[in-house]
Order: sequence, then C-alpha cells, then structure tokens
Amino acid sequence: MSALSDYRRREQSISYSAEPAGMGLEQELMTINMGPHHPSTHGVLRLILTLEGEIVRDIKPIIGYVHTGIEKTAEQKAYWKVIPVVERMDYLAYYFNSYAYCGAVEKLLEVEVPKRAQYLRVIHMELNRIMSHLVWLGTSCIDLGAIGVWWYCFREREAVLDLFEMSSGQRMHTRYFQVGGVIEDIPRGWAERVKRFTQTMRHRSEQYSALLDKNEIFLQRMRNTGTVDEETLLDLGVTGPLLRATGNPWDLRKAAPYCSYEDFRFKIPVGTTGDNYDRYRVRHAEIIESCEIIDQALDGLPEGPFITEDRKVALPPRHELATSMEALIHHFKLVTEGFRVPPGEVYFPIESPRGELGCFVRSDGSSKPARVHMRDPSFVNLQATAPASRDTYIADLVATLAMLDPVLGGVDR
Amino acid sequence: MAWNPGEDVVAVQRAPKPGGAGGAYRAFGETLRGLKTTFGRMLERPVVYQYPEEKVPVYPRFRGRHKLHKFADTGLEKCVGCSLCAAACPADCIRVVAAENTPEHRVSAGERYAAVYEINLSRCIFCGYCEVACPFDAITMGHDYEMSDYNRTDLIFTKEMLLAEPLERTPLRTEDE
Amino acid sequence: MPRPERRFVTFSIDGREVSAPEGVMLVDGAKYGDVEIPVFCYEPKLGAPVGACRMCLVEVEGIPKLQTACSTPVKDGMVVHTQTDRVREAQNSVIEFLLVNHPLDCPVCDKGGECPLQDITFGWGRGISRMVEPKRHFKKPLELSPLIAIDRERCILCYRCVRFSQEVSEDYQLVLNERGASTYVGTFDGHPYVAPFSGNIIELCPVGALTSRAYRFRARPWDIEGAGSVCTHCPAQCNVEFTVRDERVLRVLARDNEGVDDGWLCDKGRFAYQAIHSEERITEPLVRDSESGELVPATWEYALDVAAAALQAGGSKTAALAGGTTTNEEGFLLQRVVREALKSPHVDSRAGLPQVDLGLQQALAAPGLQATIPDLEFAHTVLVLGTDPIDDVASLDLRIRKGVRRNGVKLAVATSRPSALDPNAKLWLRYAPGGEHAFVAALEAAVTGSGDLSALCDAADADPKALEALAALLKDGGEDVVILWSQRLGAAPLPALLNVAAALRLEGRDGAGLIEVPVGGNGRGLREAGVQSNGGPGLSAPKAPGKPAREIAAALASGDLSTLWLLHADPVRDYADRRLWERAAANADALVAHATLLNDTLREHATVVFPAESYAEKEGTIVNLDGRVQRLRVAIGRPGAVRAEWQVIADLSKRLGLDLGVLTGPMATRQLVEAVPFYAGLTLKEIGGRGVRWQEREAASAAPAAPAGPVESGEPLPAPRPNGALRLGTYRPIWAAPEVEVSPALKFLAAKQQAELSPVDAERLGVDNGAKVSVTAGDATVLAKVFVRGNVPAGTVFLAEATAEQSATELLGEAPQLVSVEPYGQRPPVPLEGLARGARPSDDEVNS
Repeated sequence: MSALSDYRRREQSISYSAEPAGMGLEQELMTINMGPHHPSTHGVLRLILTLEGEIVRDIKPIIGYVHTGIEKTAEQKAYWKVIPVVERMDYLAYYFNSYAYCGAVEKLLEVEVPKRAQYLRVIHMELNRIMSHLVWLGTSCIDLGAIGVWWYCFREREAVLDLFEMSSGQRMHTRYFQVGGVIEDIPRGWAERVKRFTQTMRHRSEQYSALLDKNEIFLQRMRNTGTVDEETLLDLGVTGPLLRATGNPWDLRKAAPYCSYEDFRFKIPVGTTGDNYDRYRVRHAEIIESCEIIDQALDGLPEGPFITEDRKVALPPRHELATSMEALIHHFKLVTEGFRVPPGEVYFPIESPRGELGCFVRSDGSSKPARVHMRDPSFVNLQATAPASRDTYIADLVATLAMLDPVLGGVDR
Repeated sequence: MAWNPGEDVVAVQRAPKPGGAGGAYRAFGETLRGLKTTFGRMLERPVVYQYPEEKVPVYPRFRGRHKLHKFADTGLEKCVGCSLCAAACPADCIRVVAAENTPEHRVSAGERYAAVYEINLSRCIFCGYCEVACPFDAITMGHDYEMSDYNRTDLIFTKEMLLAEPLERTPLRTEDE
Repeated sequence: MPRPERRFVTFSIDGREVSAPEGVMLVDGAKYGDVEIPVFCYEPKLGAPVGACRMCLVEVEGIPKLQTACSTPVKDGMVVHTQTDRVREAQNSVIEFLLVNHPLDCPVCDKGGECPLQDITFGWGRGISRMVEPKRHFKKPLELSPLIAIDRERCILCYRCVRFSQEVSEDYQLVLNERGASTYVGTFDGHPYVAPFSGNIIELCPVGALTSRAYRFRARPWDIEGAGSVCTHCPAQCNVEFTVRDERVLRVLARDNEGVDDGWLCDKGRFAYQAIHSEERITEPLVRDSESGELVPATWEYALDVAAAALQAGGSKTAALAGGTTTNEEGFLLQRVVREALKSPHVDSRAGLPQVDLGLQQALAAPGLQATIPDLEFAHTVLVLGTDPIDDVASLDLRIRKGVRRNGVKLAVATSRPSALDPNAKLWLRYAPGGEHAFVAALEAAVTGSGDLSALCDAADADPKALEALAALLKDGGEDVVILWSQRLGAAPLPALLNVAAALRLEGRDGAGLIEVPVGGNGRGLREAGVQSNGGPGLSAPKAPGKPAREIAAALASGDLSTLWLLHADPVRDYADRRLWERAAANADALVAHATLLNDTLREHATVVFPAESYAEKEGTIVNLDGRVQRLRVAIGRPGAVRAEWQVIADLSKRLGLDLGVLTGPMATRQLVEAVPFYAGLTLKEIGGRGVRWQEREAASAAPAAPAGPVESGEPLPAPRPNGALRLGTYRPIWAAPEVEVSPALKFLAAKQQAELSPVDAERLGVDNGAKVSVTAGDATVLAKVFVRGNVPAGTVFLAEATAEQSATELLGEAPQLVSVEPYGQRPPVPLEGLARGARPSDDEVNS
C-alpha cells in the first residue's frame, strides 16, 4: 500500500509545466510528451519535454514500459536457469549480461574457469560489443537522416549474428555462457570465419569513417552538441564510452581485468570534450580495438576443456550418461535442482558496450539465488539526458539521445 | 581519477569545426569520398534473401522448433517421460505426464513413457535446456523457425505434433556459406 | 517406563564444541553443531541402528579405525572429525561401492529427484565412475504386493524395510533372502507383503527399490506441491501431507508428529485418498424428481430450496446425524441450525452407541484424567480395554508396540475378541461380548478390593485369576498407568472405569490417565462441539435433551419424527440395527444428506443429496483422541459444483430464517471457539501444523472437573450364556469402509464378512476355514465365511460390522444377543487339523 502511494506521490511530483530556474517568462513554455512510441527514443523511453520555442528547457525521462521483473524472476529459478533470463535484459548485450551473472556466481562458488573458456568468452563478448555498436551506429544515423549507414551496419550485424548462430545455436539470447565455462566448444571452421569477419569489419569501419567522419552535415549535428563535462558524469555515475568521450580512460577491462583481458593488447580510445562527436569517435574506435582483441584471442586460443571439470557445478560429459551411474546422478541433480552455492554475496562488474555492467548476487546456500541485481549502465547513463540536452535545440536532443545509446530493456529490466 | 592506464590510451581525432572554407570543401570532397562507398556497394552481390520464397538456411546448431524422436529400428519412442526437460525449462512451458508401459501397449524402450507431452511454444524461449537435460536424446531442437499461428492454443504442441516430421524442411547452411 | 531424563554432554566435532544429549548417536549429536553426516540405513524411528550402509563413517580421536556415526553414541570429551581426507575418501568409496551395482534408472525411477541416494552421491560422492563391468541383474519390476513395486537392482540393502517389518509393525514378513551379491528383500514365503502398515516401507526406502504402485509414474517432485493436512479416516487423525498435481491428490505421505502418529501411516490412510477422485464421487446437487422418482442433478439454488422446504416442514420433528469426516465447525453449525432454527433437540454424532450421561462425560473429559498419546510409549503399564487399535485407531497399534519393545511398557489387553496386540501383552484377558459392564465392574472390584469379584467375573465370563493379576499389574507395576478404552464399551461400564481410574490415582498425574477411542474420525470433536442428544457445545447441558441416534431411528420408523438430515453419516451401514435404520430411512418424509458417495439408502430414499467435500478439500478443525485440536487445510480445489459444507449449512439456515453469521470458514471456527469454554481464545494460527491439546492451554480450567469420590457403578447384567447358540461379538475391520471399496489400489483389501469361530465350535459345527455359514438372530441372517482362530473363546462368534454386504449390524438389536450358526449349503464336514494358529496381526490378509 505504502509502495503504491509512494509511487503516486512521485508521479505527481513530475511537473508537466515546470518553470526551469533562471528563465524569464518572455515566451510561453510548452510541455510536450515524447515517446514511449517514438522512433528516436530507441525503445520505449518516454520523455516529458518543457520547451521554450525550439529550445529544451527541461527534460524528464519516464521509464518502466518494458519492466519485466527479471530480477525477481531470477529468485525463483535455479542458478543455471537464471542465465537465459538475465540475458534478456539488455537485448543488445546478452553475452555481457550472462557473463556478469556467471562471473558473480563463479566468484561465489570459487570455481576456476578453464583458459579456453575464458578466451571463448572474450571472443564472443567482443563480437557482441561490435554488434551492439553497429546497432547503435545504424539507428543513430537513421535518427540523423542517414539511412544508408543503417543498411551497412545491419549487414555487418547480420554477419555477427550468423557467427553467434553457428557457435551457439541462436542469434540472440544464446545462453552460451554457463557457470564454469561455455556450454559447448566452438564448431569447426568458426574461428576462421571470425578472422575473416574481423578483416571485413576493419575494412567496413573505414567505409563508415569515410561516410561520417568529416561529413559536413554530420559535423554540424555532432560537434559541440550534448556536451557534458567529466565532473558531472562522474557525479551521475555515468561510465563507458560516454565517460571516455570526456577524456577519462576508465575501462574495467584495463582497470580491473577479468576473464583474461590482461592477456590482450588493446587501447582505450578517449575523447577530449565529451560532445556527441567524441562519443561517436570513441565507439567507432572501440570497434577496431575489439577486432584486435578477437584476433589475439583466436591466435592464442588455448587447447583444453571449455567448461570446468568440477562435477558439482558443470554437467558431466554426455557420453558418460549411458555408462556411469555417478554421471547420471550428477546430471539429474544439476538439471533438476541445480548446484548449491555457498552463502555469501558478491558484486561482479564488467565493461559492457554501454559502461559498467555489474551483477550483484546474494546466496543463502540454496540452489536458487536469494537476490540478483544488475547495475545496468543504460539506467545510470540515462541520467545524463537532462544535463546533456538542457538548453539545446530539440533536434539536438534526438542526436544526443542517440549518442547516449540507452537500451530500455536494460533500463527497465 | 587516480588510475592512469598510461600508453594504452589513445585519443580520438577531434572534429573539425563545421562551416567556413573547410566546410565548403568538405561539402564536396568528403561527400564524394562517402559516395565512393555508396557506389562501391553496387559491385557487391546482394545480401538479402527473398523470404518467404527463398528460405533462410540455418546452421546445424540452430535451435528451432522441438522434435521428439523414435528409434529407427524398433519404432519405439526415445522419450521415457522422465520430465527432466520440464524440470530444466526456465519458462515452464513443458508438461509431461508419464505412464507405465505394458507388454500389450509398449510405447517406449524403458518402463515408463510420456502419455502426455506438451510444449507451449508461446512460452518457449528456445534456450535448448530441454535438449541439454534429456538423457536419452529424445528431444532435440529442430531447425524449423516458421511457427507462427493465429491462435494461442494452436501453439501448444502435443506429442504427436512433435514426433511428426515438419511439412517443409529448413535448409541447412553448408560449411563455407 | 517414564521418559528418561536428558543429560547433556559436550564433545567436539570439526573443531566445534557441541553440547548434545547423552546417549544419542553421533549422527544426531552432530546436528546440534550444524554438521550433517550422510546416512542411508540410519533411522531412529526403526529402533537400534544396524550400521549396514557404512555411509556415516567418521574419525574419532583415539580410535584407530573410522567409526559409524549412526551407532557410536556421543561421549563427554569425544573429538570427532567429519571433514578429514580419510573420512572423505571413505565416503567417496562407500558411494562408489553402492553405485557399482546400481542400475542407470534415474530417468525412469519414481524416486528420482527425491532420492537420498542421489542427494548423497551429489553431496558426498566423487562424481566419476570407474565401474566398467556389467552390473548385477534381477527381474524387474516386480510386485511386492498389489500396493508396492519392488526393483531389486536398485536396492542398497540398508535393512530399513526389513527392520520396519520386524521391529515396528512386527508382522515379521519381510526378510533378506540369500547372501552376498545375490541378497534380495522379499517375504520369507514369497507371498505378497500384505499388512496394514506396509506402505510405510515406501517412504522409508532411501532408493527407488520400493515404490508405490498407486503413485507409479504419476508425477515428479518438481511437478507437485505438498499440502499438509490431517487424515480423517479414523480417530487416530494421523498428520499427512498430500502430494498434489493439477488439483489432484496423487499420494499421501506421513507428516511426522510425535504427539499424534509418530511418523507412520496405515495403508488406509496412505491409499484411500483415491476415493477423492473416484468416478462415483457426487459433484453436483441431486434432487429427487417427483415424476420419475429418481435422483436427478439440480442447481444449488433449487436443491437448497427443496432441502430447506423439507427441513422447514420437518421443523421440530427433524433429526440430524453427523459422522465421518465432519469437522467441529460443521457439526457446530449443524446443531445450531437444528436447535435454533428448527427448534428440534434431536442431533447426534455417537454412531448409534448408547447415550452417556452428561455428568459422566464431563468426568471422563476432565483434563487431569486425560493421558496423551505419547504417554502410551512411556507409561509403566498400558491397559487396552475393549478395542483393537489395529481396527479402531490404526497408528496407535504401532505406538503401543513401540512402547512395549523399546521402553518396556507392561501391556495388558482386555477385549472380547482376540487382539493383534495379544502376543506383545504381558497379560491378556477375554470377556464375553455383552459382559463389558460386568468386566469393568469386576476390574473395579479387583483393583479396589471390594465387591464380589467372582460373581462379576462369572457375569462377564472372565477368568477371576487373570483379573486379579491384571489388578496387581495395574496397582503394583508402576504409577503411570494409561487405559485406552473404546467408546464401543457403551455407557454402563463407564462409572466403574472412573472408579478404577480413581483407585489407581490417575487423576492429575502426568503420563497417566485415560484415552478414549471414539467411533468415527472426529467423534471426540463432534461431542465437544455439541453434536449429541444430551450435550451442547463444550459438554454443556442443552436446553432440551433430544433423542439419541437409536431412538431417532425408532421414532422415524414409527412416524414420531419426520425428517432426517445426514451430515457425512451413513447410519444404515455404520450403526447397529441395520434393519431398523432401513425402516427409518424408508419411513422418513424427507431425507437430506451431505455425502461424497451415493449408497443404496440415499439412492432410494434421499430427497436431496448435497455433494460433500472430501477431507482434502475441507478447512476446519478436528479433535484427536487426547484432545489435540488439529487443523484441516485445503489441499485441492473442490471438484465440479461441490461447495464448502459450512457454506451449505449457512445457506440452508438462511432459508430457514436463521442467519448464522458465517461468511468464511474461519468465522465458523471463531463461533465454535466462543461457544466452547475450554477452547477459549484458540486461533487457527495457534493450532498451526502440529495441533494443540486444549488440556494444555489455560482455558482448560473452564473444563468440568472429575468427580471427587467414587461414582455409583450400577448393577451389571450378565453376558448372555451360549446354550448351543453362540454369543455374537462384532468389530469394525479397518478395511470396512466405502473409501476402501472405491479406491482402485485398496479394493482388493475391502472387508468381506467372515465368522471367526473357535476350533471347538468349528468342530462342533463341522466347518473348516473358508466354509460358508449362516448366522441367524431372530429373522435376520448373515452369510459369512468361516475363519477358525485358535484363541477365540469357545461359545462366541465374531462378525465384522459395516462391510459392504452381509454386515453384522443386520443382527445387532438393542441388547447383546445370541445367534445360531449353521453350515450353509450342502458341504460335507471336513476334519479339523492343525488349526492352532497363532494370533497374527495380519488377519486382514485372510480377508482378501
């Protein structure tokens, strides 16, 4: 009851005809609603805009339209059954979602993940990062009126999805990562294809550069728009390319390496002013860096098991099911009840395409998590909408929103 | 920020100031450079499929509609109704009711068989855990992806539907496609 | 023996100082320190540990070899390790050894998912198999009995089932046959294992070797929900857990409650749940069609209108009877409607047994005189008087056996019919059916030393010497005496029983007292709720006393009463004098019934039949033998148009012009609690899952106290003398119940009529086991198969009551009587040989 009334109170606090501070009343303010079904809000984001003419004077994002209760659902499922569930939060970063969760559980279990599994995870996550940035670039350009780039980006994205389909059987939400490793080894010929893809990708990204980097219209729309300084972003907790565009080189892959990222040489692209153009360049450069990481991981891909050999966590090999009673029992128990995780709580942050994606898992010793919480970067980064768009043209708001790259599946969960 | 990654940082190029003489040049030069990409595209072959006339082929690991299997030699169902798939299903979309085989009515190889085996495809998330869970390879994820229907109840697939061959086979991709 | 005092000792386990009761085994002691030691064979309920499975090996400092924690008692200062490499290695090896011959059956095995072998393998096993050789094979699956499937390949030889059969139910049927790798569990003679408690071995089995045939392949642990409630099939009211899948009860498991059932269930409680989903279940109201004269389905509104009109017409000439699974609330509301709305005093729940004077009832219900069920286990002496627990209150049979076997309880059995407990008894006595009053009076005489013992013994046809021995046992065998007596004794012997209790000074003594075995699942609760002719709620005096059941029947037959209202009661089948009840039902102007199953009476005479809830669908309270108020909880939704009983009664009441003010089940409970002084303040929450004895609550002081001095016990009538004719004794077998007959799994056990004869009488009549005889009293005749029992006293024939056909109630009139037994048909007499059978509890086996 109190939660509801609290919600109502907050709802009423949203001022639909706000009078932003420091503003005269020479012109009439207009409050308009944008979204949730607006093509440039990248999902179901709803914005309440207070306009003075064409200038945005105040902005209030309203979220919750794709709230699916994933965190609560996770409490009802055995640990391994949570993986396909959390994957569906940020639907452009499913490998990151599942890795953040698996990594947290692995930390609680203190299980060692084989090196090959770690490398395979890195390859898939970096492919995922490329894929996510491609979707961002394509959709952003549509918002800016450049539909051609969208076709090109989605062509490459299809190539990545094909790779995912080949290795893990599904184009999205692959549940390829499991606690302790990956569910199966990559198929024959996959590595070569990935190599071919990174080659192509480098070439393609040059083409994007040619189309966009110095395009006069693009520059007009991007340069010095939506600028937020480093201080404000840090205060808001914003991470990822948005923060790096201001010149702060915070990247968890370097700052707190996980999953063998310390094995790879790669650069952290940073911007200088933190405007929309820097954001574009940082993400664009990250695509190339991801290709670098993938190539190194494929070259150095170690032989060995692809999932931990701890029988109390990972499913036994399938061929043993017909002969070994122990394997059959372990298979049965793992599938039906799942492994138990010692009591404790852990926070496991990783660098997703949008910033710090952290997974908090609390275990009460049973086979179901007592609490799963995700710190989704989209949610935090969305707070930068207002500082970035206040006192700018409403047209720039669209560009800024595109460059903020929020994924509402991750925001609402 | 106290943390400094040192030389691992690379600064991206700053945008030139739009407008002015540079702008005038860019309006021509850079646009032409971009158009090179656009026209270069004409030389490449198309990447789209003429769906539905042309079905999109899938990779062998692709997880589409489920299939139940029978033994080729005896014709008995591989499924023994153990319900492990139902236990593994994160979406709770599988319902199994088992029954006992009798010498007169033998359905599966083991002592028990699935008298009812239903998958609610409107709930299924195609994670393939059922396939992972099945100790007898009785259920696998097939390659068919055309499952839409006009009615939710028609999406509850019964054992007979799952045992039947699909009407049209989904093409598989070859090694280097 | 009184409960032993518990002393605590301190020992160390895995470096932790733990204090545990002295003498407990390490497995249990470790739990005090939150350490779990895996076990397969250990089960404290089965008595002394055997150390068969070796799973519980632990390291004890000072002992060079690993010890089995299940059979090593904790000692002061002991240092135990359960996590060392040696222990791990031993655990891994034991599991590997157990799995060497275990078949790869998990996917088809019913135990899968709730299997201790799986759990322990997953928790303590190595996870990798080295076994490549072919496994041992047995023929499977086999039927150990029609209720139990056995898979010998899966057996790990933990002895649990065998120990249950040998040491708990004491039917001595299960043994381990052969030796070594060929060892297998089976009955010693290869016959099916049929015994009243056989189903418990299914729950005991730590692997999938023994599985329920009724539950076979029905569901998996992740498909089901457990719903705790109470079984109402007999007054023992064992706590059960229903296994529910898709709104159907698929299985009944024991819900261990030390104060009630000690964790065991009889097979009726375990398998008669099938009656809930019987095809014959009534699921919509039935109303007699005036044209065709048949019962036809009707809407609730119409049925309620018709029933209300019938009851209205009956008015003060209406009589109501409650029985079976009726809860306290339903009984309470029923008596309110009958007494307040219909202004009729005629309401009863005593199953046709004689009316007991209210003062006497109050005296017997005095909290100070009440023993508890666990007292049976720890008393010095237990006297079982006039009841055979196996038939009347099944799970107490095991409780008494446990007391005798483990705690050295001295058991005395005094019954007219040979009891299954005789072999365990220190002393057993027989008296003639009809001589109950004389017998209890003789016991009083023997205990108090006053009165004419020999004359009374003569009247009861009992052995005076044995009675003196019994009196000596009761007086000198220790102060804690528990007398388990049956409501079937009737009213007359009760003053004498009170005097015996007074002479033994049972009043106010913990661990001693009386326990009454009522007839009917909630007999005690219904009486306390006021469903009896001479008692209102809380054993208060009603405004106007009504007629007890037997007089109701006579009045209905003669037309003095016009309408009969039955709440779960089936007087024609269950009460004495079947033919009188048949006449009463036929003669009644209207018959309104709440029932789950149709029977001939309802089919022919009922005006309206309301579909009743089964015990898995009910909510409400019931009262156990020793005053434990227990809670029935809804496990499944009601099928078809079935409505809650309290709601139907309230709806009827409204139509009769009385608003009961009951809108929910708990509101009915509240009304009941307000009306019964000694329940005051009781809430459903307080009752909880374990129940609460009202005697132990403060409000118990509101209960009437026992009389101070001896009460006048009256002059007993002598039991009839068998002059050529035989005395008729009756009993109600555990399997004589409609729910047994409609449960597919139990059908084979349904009781058939049999005449238990002594060898002497059998020889005189020239009949042998299995021969047919006709038993005649007046113009009533019952046909029965002969069962010659060595220890049936000569001159008496015992017949079963409440069987589906040929019930002995046909012969029972007002007074105890003599019957003539004749061979039926033209069978040549067979010479009698080798008839001296020992008394065995598995007599029911012969029924089948």
